[in-house]
Amino acid sequence: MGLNIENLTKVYKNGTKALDGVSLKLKPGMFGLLGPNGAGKSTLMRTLATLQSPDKGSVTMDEINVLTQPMLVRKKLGYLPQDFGVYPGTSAETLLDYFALLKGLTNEKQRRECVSHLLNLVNLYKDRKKAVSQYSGGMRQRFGVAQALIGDPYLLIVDEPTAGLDPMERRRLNALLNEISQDRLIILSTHIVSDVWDLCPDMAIMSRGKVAFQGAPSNAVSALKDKIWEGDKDAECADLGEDAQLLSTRLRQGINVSRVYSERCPGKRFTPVQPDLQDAYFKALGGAL
Amino acid sequence: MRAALIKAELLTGLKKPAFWLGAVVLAGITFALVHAITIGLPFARIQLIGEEFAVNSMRNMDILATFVSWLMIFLIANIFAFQANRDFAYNAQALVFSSGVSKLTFVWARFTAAFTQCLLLSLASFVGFIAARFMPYIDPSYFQADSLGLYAWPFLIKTLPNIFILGAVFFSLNLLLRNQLINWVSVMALYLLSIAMLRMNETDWLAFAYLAEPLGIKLALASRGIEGEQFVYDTYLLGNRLIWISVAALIMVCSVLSFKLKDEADSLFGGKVFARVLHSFRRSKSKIDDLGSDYMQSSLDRALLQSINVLTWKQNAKIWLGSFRFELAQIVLNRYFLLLSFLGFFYLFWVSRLIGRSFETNTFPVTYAVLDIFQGAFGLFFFAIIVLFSAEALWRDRENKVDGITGSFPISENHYLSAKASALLATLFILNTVMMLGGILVQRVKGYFDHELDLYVTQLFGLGFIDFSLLLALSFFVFSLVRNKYQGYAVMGAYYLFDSFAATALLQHNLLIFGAAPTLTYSDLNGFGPNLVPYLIFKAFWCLLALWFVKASVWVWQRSETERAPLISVLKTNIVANPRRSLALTVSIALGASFILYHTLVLNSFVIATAIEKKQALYEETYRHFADEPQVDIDKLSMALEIEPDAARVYGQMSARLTNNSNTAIHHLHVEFDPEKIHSVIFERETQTVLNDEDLGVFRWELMTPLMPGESMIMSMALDDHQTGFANSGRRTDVVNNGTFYEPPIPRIAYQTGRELTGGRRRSALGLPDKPNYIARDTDGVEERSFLGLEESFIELDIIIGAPLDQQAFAPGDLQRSWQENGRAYFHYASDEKVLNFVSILSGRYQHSQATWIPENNNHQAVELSVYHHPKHSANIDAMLEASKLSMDEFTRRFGPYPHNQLRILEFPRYATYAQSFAANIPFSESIGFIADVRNIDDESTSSFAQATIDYPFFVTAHEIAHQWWAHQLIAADAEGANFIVESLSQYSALKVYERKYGATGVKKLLQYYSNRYGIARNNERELNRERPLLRVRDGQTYVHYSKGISALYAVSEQMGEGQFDAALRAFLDQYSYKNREYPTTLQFIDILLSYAPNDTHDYVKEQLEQITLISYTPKNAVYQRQEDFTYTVQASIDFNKQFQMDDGSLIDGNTETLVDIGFYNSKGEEILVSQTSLKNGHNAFQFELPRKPANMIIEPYYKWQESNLIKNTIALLPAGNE
Repeated sequence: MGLNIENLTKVYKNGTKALDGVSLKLKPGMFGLLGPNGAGKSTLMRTLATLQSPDKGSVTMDEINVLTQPMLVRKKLGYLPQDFGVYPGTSAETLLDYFALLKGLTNEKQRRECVSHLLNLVNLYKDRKKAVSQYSGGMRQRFGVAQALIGDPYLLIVDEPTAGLDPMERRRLNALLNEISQDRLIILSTHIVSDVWDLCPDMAIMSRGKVAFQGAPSNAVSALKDKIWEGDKDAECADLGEDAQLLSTRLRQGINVSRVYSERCPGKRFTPVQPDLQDAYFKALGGAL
Repeated sequence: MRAALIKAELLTGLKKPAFWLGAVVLAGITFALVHAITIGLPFARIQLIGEEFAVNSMRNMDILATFVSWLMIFLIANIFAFQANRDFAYNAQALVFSSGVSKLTFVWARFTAAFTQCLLLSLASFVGFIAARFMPYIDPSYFQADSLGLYAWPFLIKTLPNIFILGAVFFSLNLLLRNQLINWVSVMALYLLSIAMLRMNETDWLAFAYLAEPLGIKLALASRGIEGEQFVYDTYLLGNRLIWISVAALIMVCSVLSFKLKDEADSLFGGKVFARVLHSFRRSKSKIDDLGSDYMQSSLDRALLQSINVLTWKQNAKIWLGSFRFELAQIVLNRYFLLLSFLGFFYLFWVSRLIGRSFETNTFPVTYAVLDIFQGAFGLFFFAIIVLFSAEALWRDRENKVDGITGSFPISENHYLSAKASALLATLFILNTVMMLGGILVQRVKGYFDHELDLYVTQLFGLGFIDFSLLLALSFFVFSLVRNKYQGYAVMGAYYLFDSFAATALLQHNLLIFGAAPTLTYSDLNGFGPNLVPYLIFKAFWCLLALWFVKASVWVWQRSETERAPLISVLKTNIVANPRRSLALTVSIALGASFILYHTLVLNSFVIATAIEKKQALYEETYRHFADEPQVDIDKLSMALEIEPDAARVYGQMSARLTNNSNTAIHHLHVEFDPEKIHSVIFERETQTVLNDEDLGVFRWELMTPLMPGESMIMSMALDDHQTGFANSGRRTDVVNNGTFYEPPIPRIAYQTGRELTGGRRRSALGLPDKPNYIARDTDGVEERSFLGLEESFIELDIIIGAPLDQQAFAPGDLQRSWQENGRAYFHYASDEKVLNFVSILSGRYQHSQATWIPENNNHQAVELSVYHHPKHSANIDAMLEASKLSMDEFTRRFGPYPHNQLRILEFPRYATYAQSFAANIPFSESIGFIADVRNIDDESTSSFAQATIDYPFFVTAHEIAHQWWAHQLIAADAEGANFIVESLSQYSALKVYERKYGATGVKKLLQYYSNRYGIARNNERELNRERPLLRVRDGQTYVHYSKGISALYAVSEQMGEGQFDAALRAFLDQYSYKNREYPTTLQFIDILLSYAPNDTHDYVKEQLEQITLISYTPKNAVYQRQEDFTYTVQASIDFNKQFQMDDGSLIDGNTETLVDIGFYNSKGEEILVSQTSLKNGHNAFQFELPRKPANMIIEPYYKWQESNLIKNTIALLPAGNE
């Protein structure tokens, strides 16, 4: 079972071209979607989550036409929106129970078990009687993960799931996602490059509504082998090839360090380094931003 | 800083298009209003003012200024709420509050900005008014000269303070509570307070109501702004304004003190309780600290999470029920819902005082009366709840940003929306149930136990739910369609205002007004009556249309916050997706509309008001020249009519004897009738049709042999009066299953002056010559025509009615014979004496209660007294029969014999709410008298909950029986003052019967009631139809001929002596009874009266009857002192003023002395002394010796003079030295 996205285009009324002929083929497993803010990630995710329709293009999941048969998709879908809220004053347990019912868990006993299992899973069981609207950011995010898992969805779309989580929570969530991605399709949108590196056998990089790269992260990195150079702030780029570009400028122990993509050594004080996914990401976006 | 901030805030507000839209709408409303009054729309005309008064009179401007601020409530609420709330709405509070602005500056800037915006908006309405006023095509005679004060004063005293008052309330609440719903709850609370005060008209509470009504609406309606007259409610006006401005200022101060420029409120002004209450209405912002271990535990058990892929319908139903329950909880557990409901039910119990209230006396709380009051009072609540909570339901997920989650659930729009709609309907069901229980509770509290649960259920849960569903469909559609909630509120608010105030007047046809249907009136006699079917047909049509709304809502409602495709394409997509269903729905709507139009326009006529006026004008222009043509008179009428109640049909034969009473030969007959009802007109003589105007109903025949003076001939005709289908107003209510009250359309002879259009400006607009709207009583030949518009008013009458076997039928006159024939019952009525040409026929299934009046001395035949009534309506039958007996006693003794052997009171359904007198027949509406609750009539201490002040079943009976003399024996000429002769004399006569039963106390209550009514009505009506003196009263001035008439005649009778007064009435009657073409006016009456009145009373009589005399007084001090012989001396002084109102409305001071009753009463209210004292204008001091200790002094205990100001006339007496 896979997801086939073809030529998806969406232009908002204000002229923003959020999706510009996006075509992707997704196979079961974890799929990472990288891109800066405004790249069209959320629009793509919302379209896949059947919340909005594109102007052009098609999305199919096996036999299902996602755009015209949203109800069939929703039965297999778990979605964690990027920025979500809850009804004021409703407790986590009540809300999760209600969501579980809406998702088709009609057996009360099973639903109760499911809810308490999920609450335990995300470590909210102790606070289950409290209103979700009063939760802290991290707790709320965990609640969001819990609700997305109801129904054991085949297609799980998680939009920036680790935002607001501390490192430990992030690690645990990643492990969880990894665990369930065995025979499922999980689309993970993020701008944390290392999460994608850690989790996703397949990925895409989006930029300005277009797919700048699709493939395995390792492929992205190996393509850059011997082409990444690092130099400090005093390094001079003397001998740059036509395709050379400055990828990023990072601080390391207070010293500015530039990473440059170049077929050959760009100059004195540059040393060759191992490429990483971040380099590939910046390379795909077309250089330093 | 402050000024800059205000300027910035103001500019932000002014840049919003909604502001300019509001300004244009307000200006448009006043602009249109001026046009509607002066020119009128092509099909509708609003009459707010009288013919001879200026549109821009002080009073009108005052009303306009008040009305504008009332109209602006929604705008004011929104603007102030926006200014108070917007930092929170946009989550910018942290930025604003940390910017170093001081609290006072912040509040001041926001408030001033909002206030200025509202001020500019209200000015727009004045601009609209002024613009319309100077349009070149507007007749300037409608306006008086402009002056600054004319516009500035109402603006300063009404608009400005109202904006402040409303603004302060809304601003404060929003500042502290930060919630949109609180706005609507407070709008509702203010609105209810206003309505409650407007409805409070008891004398004792009047002052309170004037002061407590927040917007000054009551004062605007009561104030008298005519030039030359003092502004009598000045005190209340200033008091009202001061009180409310202070209240508003206090609220502002409190809220500013407790408002903190912080994200949350920690300590609040007013102590812990206030803080807690306030806090419970605020969404808590406090967070739970995340103390749990910071990673997730256990591993995933996927089996536990699995959902069912294909659901059975049972499982689907379970899910639906779950979301229904969830939605229901979201509404009914909402604090604002609870607050709103609490307000509503509080108001409900308050208005339950008013159940069936008339004559300051309640009816029994019969279920339909309870429902009338409750549903009326609760209408706005239901509207508010449907609108507010459908908006909440449809926007809940998006506003709370849950839409991303719930939107991706496998739940269809149909499911979501139907759960939301059902939850709202369930809420209404709960409210209705509570309302029903409240109604039953009220009934039990009032000691009434016939609850008629079936009627409750039918009304509340059957018919009521149709309307709820229609409104809900509309509201769902609107809130699905709009891009933000405020737009939706604005649309629904505008819909409400339009629907309740303008729709019927402007659109007129029910098919143009969403949800409209013919009026459905429930009565005990006739159930839901003939209109039930057309009502349901109209509603069914609206339900079809509502289905479209529902479908479209599902299509356009957004399950999540995204950009929506254009409406047209949404509709197209969905219609194309299922063309058959859309087509079927559209076709059935079209068919439904055609069916209704066929019935209301083709089978039945639909005539708009201005078309009727044009017809009147055409009639006058075409036939006016026949006005002075000598014509025959009808002097005998015979009818044999069959009533078919179920078919709503009356048919049969009528014949009229036409006699030439003139002194010339008559060659042409001029007859007017409705050709749809009357046909086959045949004359005894050979005739030739010369005019056949079916449109105007005018027919003329030439007599081949002229009718010589004194000769007679018979005209016979067939009547077939039936209704096919239903009209826009529904089915006829005069011929019904049970309780027919039908006036046969007797042809009229000669040109009918009464058909002419009245009203100077309307006449001139249609090109008709000027015509006074009343006939002066000294006009030549006025005695020729009676008040009925006939020269021959007293005629012979002979009527046979056929009715179904189970019904009894009635007509004027004595029943001669009744029999059965061909499975029907027949009744023959005729009279020895001549009777008025004034005929009605009644028929129904009645219970018969009777008594016989036997005169004390055998100078009169015995009279059979009957009441025919609904079996359940027996409570006041004895009172009616007793009133009949006592009336017979009194009237035969005072005025002369009763001409019939029978006297019948006949109940008819409450399609009309009056009683009327026909010869020997008194049709009496079900709603007045039969269900009056007068059990507590003698109990002074009764709570206002079941108040019984006047035994009006008794009084109205006596009044109608008095018409058997005043009208049926002596009918007034068709001239000003005719209503005095017919109505005021009947009022006096009935008062004398009432006095016999209830003594001086009863008289006092009755006169107080009428004096109060006069005072209130005089204020309300005077511009529409300027008051005339009693003896020159015009048609329609009921507050003069009923309310003032009774007390003036009582006063005159007391002054000249009852014996002399009755002798004068008897002489008047003797001279004019049963005389055709010698109809008296009040000129003849006053001549006879004065000839019986002692000379020293002539001035008194004239001031009461011939002039509008108004007194006012201010008690200065009143003290008593005990004398050595245990008698008491009272010393008192009052400032007294008597004025006469002239024909032009101006007032002049009276310089003659006035005889005023001053009474003294002990603490139990018993009379010690009533003394007539002569008072002059200005200061008067007097002293009285009393045998017992007084508690109160009452000026004018019998309300003999009319007061220019309704004030309390009881003054508590103090011991001397303690004042």
